[in-house]
Amino acid sequence: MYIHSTFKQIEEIKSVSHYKKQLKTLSKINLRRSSKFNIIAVYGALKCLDDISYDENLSIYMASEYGCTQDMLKVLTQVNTKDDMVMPFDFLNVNTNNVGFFISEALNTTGKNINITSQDLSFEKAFELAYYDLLFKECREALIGGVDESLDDIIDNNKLIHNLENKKTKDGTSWIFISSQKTNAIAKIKKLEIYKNIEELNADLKTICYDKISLNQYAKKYQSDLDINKELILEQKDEFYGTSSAGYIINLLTYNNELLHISLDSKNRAYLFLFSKL
Amino acid sequence: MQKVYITGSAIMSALGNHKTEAINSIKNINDSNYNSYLEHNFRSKDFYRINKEFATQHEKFYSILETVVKDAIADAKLSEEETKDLHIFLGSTSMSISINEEKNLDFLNNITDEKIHEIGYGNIGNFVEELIQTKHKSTLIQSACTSSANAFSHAVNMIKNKKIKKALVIGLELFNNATYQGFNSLMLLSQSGEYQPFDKNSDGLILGESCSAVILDINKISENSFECLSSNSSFDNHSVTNSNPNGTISFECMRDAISKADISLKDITCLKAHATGSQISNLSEARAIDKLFRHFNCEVDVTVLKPFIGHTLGACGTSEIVLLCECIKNGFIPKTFGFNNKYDEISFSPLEVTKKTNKATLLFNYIGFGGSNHSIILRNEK
Repeated sequence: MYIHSTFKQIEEIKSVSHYKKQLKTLSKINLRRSSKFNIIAVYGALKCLDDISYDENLSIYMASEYGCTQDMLKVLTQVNTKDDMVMPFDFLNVNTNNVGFFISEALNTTGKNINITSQDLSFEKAFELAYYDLLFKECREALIGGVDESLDDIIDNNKLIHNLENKKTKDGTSWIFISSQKTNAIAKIKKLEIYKNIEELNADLKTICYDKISLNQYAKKYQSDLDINKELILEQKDEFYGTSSAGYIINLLTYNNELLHISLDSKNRAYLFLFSKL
Repeated sequence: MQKVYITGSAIMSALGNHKTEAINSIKNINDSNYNSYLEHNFRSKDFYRINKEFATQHEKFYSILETVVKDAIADAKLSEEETKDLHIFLGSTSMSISINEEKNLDFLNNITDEKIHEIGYGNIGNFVEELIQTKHKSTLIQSACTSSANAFSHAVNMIKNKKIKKALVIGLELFNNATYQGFNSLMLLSQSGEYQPFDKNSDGLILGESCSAVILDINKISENSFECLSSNSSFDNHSVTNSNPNGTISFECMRDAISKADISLKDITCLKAHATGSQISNLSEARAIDKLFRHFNCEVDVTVLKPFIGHTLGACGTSEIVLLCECIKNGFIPKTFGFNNKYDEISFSPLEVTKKTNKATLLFNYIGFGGSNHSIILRNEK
């Protein structure tokens, strides 16, 4: 399995109109009444596949840790007012399959298209589903995304999310395109493993060679328990958002040779990704 | 590849709070009491509701989820050790938005300082993990009306390819104002208050709530266990609210599921159609089924379950699988209520009389809001 292209854009909170202007430079797709969540998702997917040829049957796996939060808050206010009316476009924006529709429309694809979440490991889960669909020949190509809005304008948002270092959350859209073809690939996916605990992970780490390693926030917190070469840890930029791992993996892929990413969740279950740059 | 079987299941819906109750309800509903059944359900809103009272939305959500999960595990007769080895796949459209609505209303009424209960839905997976004490990380899928169908198929493929041994697949959709008012604002809800599948006078859909679960395993626990033969997924980007009227993507999805199962349409006993309820989507799927019949040069029985439980959105995948498989095990394919007038251009009509059989190969078709299509083939006959 191979990685062919990546794209990430992780920025401090910005307005919908900012992202709409950005998207207009890439696509004529009409997202006039659409939400920021949808727009940054479509933008990221388009940028990842810019100048890349792909099958119409491309499968799309989009992860989000928080979902379309701004739209949800808007709709909650609408349903809880006296008039009890929800505006059609606001409802459509809350229905997260909407984002799948717009991505499919922008890319003109007809393959599988699903949204995935899994606490602390949403992007990792999406990657896992895509990886196994490719392995099982359910699809030939897969586009995997991690999209989340900044929560900075939601008061006390840190009480409701896992933000271990109390960082400012960003608007993030990060995408990776993978297929079973080696031609034009930038990296090989050598290994994807899931472990029930750190002990199982450490047992496997003993057998793996790597030149650089990136960690998600929980792996960073528990790095002293991990059997890894701490000197090879990639210090990540200030790019925290819901599906940060997508961005961390993309940053890791700018390095050469054998590259390792580890994600843990709050219960110390682990994902391990091993890539080999081509 | 491994064979994969449904070895346990459970459901709560408008038909009843347990699987047995649901099947008995289906058996007892007939033309003369169908309207009473609807009246009993609909009360202040046309909505197929789970008939159980709860003090809060939070209690309702997690109590229903817990009951259904435990019932499915008991039905599969899993040991404690086997239960801890289950991988969880959950599909839903609205997830726990009802709980956020409730919290937000309390906030607006100055009962609480918290504007919402939670951000993101990962906690739902956490809840089930802790409930069954599994070691494995849960997967939550949202793809509108194909959510739990997608969850089901991912679980099946992981077991078939020996990546996992057992799975718990859950479909969950409970009433919330956002969804109800959203469909209302799009003018997609039926004004007549009666589901009319593939009827040319169908005037919209009627929402329903349900929670259902299946256990998937490599070992069947009875000769009657349904085997998961194949599934297929595709996407129709014609419109955010409707399928392409030509029905081509939906036809191809069903056709390819049949091909993957290495069978022909003539081997299918019954096609469980999605039958959304809205005019455009109904006709689109009817055309898709018509194309399928012409492609294979044969017709099979078509049934629709939504007149019994409503459109349960993301839960309809597992809920309609549980109901139809249990009907077959109890010796029948239920007729489709609410159908009266065929489309002029469509050759088939849904099943108008209940049929007797306890062995079947079933094609389940699902079509999601926003374009997702999914087809699944199950059988309990050789």
